[in-house]
Amino acid sequence: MVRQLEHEQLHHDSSPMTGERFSKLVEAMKRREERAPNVGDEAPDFELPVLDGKGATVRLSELRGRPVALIFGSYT
Amino acid sequence: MGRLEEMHQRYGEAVSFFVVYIQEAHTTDGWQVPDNEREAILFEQPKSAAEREAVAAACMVGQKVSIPTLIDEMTNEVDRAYAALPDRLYLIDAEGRIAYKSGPGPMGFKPQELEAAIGEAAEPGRERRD
Repeated sequence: MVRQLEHEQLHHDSSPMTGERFSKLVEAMKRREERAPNVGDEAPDFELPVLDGKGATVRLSELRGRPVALIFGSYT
Repeated sequence: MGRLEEMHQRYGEAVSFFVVYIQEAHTTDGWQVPDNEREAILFEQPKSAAEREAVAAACMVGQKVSIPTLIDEMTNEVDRAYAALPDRLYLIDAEGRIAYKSGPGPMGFKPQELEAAIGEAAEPGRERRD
């Protein structure tokens, strides 16, 4: 958890992206990467609200029975 | 997103598609990048769930995406669990296991790899020569 906060701080800091900061960011991303699930691992479950779903949520584990494609991203 | 939208049209019957909207990667109050300044994509990091939802909605309208969108909590729990920031693709098989994991974006964000994995999951053996 501490490591993740470090990664986010490095990513979101509004100060200039210097070489040193970039190197630290790359290191933090590597550590974060090591904890992400790999092919064959059970997908971490979650339940999230649907945009414009009027309060409806989707729970990943309830979608078993057919494959699920997850496209993570943001606007920027 | 155009390619992902096409995949949704093509494979939507066999595969559930979701966009998972996570924290903004490059905001005006964070790590701003020249591409976004050029295209006037200028947002501050949303500070509440309602603000995050508003930016997600603007994003989806702007890109004409029909894929249903889920919104990560302000704790960024799902982003963390999947090491998703700034963007990333996963395919989860029918048993709930990771079938495909892209590299971290933007370099690793390769819709064509996801499409190959979906092709294999939706029509297993199609590529094989038995």
